[in-house]
Amino acid sequence: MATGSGAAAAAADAEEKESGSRMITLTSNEGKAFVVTEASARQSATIRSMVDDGGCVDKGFPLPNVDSKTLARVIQYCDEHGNKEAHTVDERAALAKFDKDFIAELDADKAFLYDVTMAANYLHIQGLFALTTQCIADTIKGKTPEEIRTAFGIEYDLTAQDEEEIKEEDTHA
Amino acid sequence: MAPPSRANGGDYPVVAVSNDGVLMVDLLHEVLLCLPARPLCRLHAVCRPWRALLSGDPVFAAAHAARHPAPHLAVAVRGRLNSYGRELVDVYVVDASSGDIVKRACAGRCDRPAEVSTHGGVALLVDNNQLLRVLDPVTLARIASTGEYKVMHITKDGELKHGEQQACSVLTLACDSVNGGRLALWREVRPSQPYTVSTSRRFAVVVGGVAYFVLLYEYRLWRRDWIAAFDLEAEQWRPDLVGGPPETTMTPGTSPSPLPS
Repeated sequence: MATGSGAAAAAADAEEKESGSRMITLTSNEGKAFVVTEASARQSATIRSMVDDGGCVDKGFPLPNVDSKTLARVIQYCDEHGNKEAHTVDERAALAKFDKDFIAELDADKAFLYDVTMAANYLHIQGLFALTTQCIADTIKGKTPEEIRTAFGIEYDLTAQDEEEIKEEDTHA
Repeated sequence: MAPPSRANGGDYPVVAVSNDGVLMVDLLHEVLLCLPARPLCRLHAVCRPWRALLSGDPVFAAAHAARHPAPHLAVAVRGRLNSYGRELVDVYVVDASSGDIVKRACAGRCDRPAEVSTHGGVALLVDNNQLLRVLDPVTLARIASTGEYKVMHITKDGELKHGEQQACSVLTLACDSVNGGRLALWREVRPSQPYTVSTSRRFAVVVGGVAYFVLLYEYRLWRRDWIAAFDLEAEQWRPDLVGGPPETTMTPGTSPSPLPS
């Protein structure tokens, strides 16, 4: 594939700029294949570095940590951000609206939201990761410590001394 | 295949693997980093690993500070009488951008508002026993950082008797753990400055570890405001004065006058 000539490299560059001429296959841990544009796949820093290192583009990328349902949703985000331009104010507003609707839908199903967060972390998709962690943080904001323990399955391990200190801290706050 | 660690500083020590609920620990840290200091404060009461993370983990603290630059806070102080008729002082922290009162704390018995100063995000109170307290306005807790704070004390220019020289001394406020509870001592600055500086807040400012004072009395003849500089680290007055703008009380419209012969 690598001819090494400048003309070929320039052609490859031009091809990349067209964003989408090269297709990449991502495979979920259930063996289901998803074919996406390279521009979409490049939203993931993990895949981007593998592609740039001349990795197995043709063979596709198996993702043993991501199931099909999660991967489909992650790709939905990457398609929107990878395949669409964000130069004008209108284009950026459209993307922001997409993000808002995207996260609102995820927020309704917490377990799925966590799956997508973990996938975004694993695939290094910065925008998606920021979106999901902020969403979880916003949920924490309005909760009491007890509600947080329930929401995150954290066991209560505070000692009597801790409780005393917390009471002390609270009276000062 | 182990998940790669995040490039943006997500490599936290694992606080407790058994207590991380449904999200992996480092993901939870990322989530907590999204929260501003105020809601974060309440999370001390969730569980022990969170307590340790939020109050003592320097990596987390640094990452959080980088993510949330300090808000513009103003500190206000108000005296009130408690039910026994004893005067107490309340410290209010006000978010300067919104005007909201972020926090209120009773500082106990303190001197009046004139003795409060804020610098570098720190509130300084002088209480009735002339003891100093340094508070972090964000948590309103006593400062326990590794940094030092220096306090300058200069005889008030208005209280000088004729022919008396202004005395200047410096005190280092180390954090409790560093100081180990030892009594901090005032150190007198020698040689003292040969001119009288104004201690009024309007004529003094601290920038980058140097305190600058406008000289109001000695150099007025020169039709210029001169500024004396004190190096807080070296605890020395700088030998040279900084030339200020032409004297501020000059009548508008006149051109700068030559030095009187």
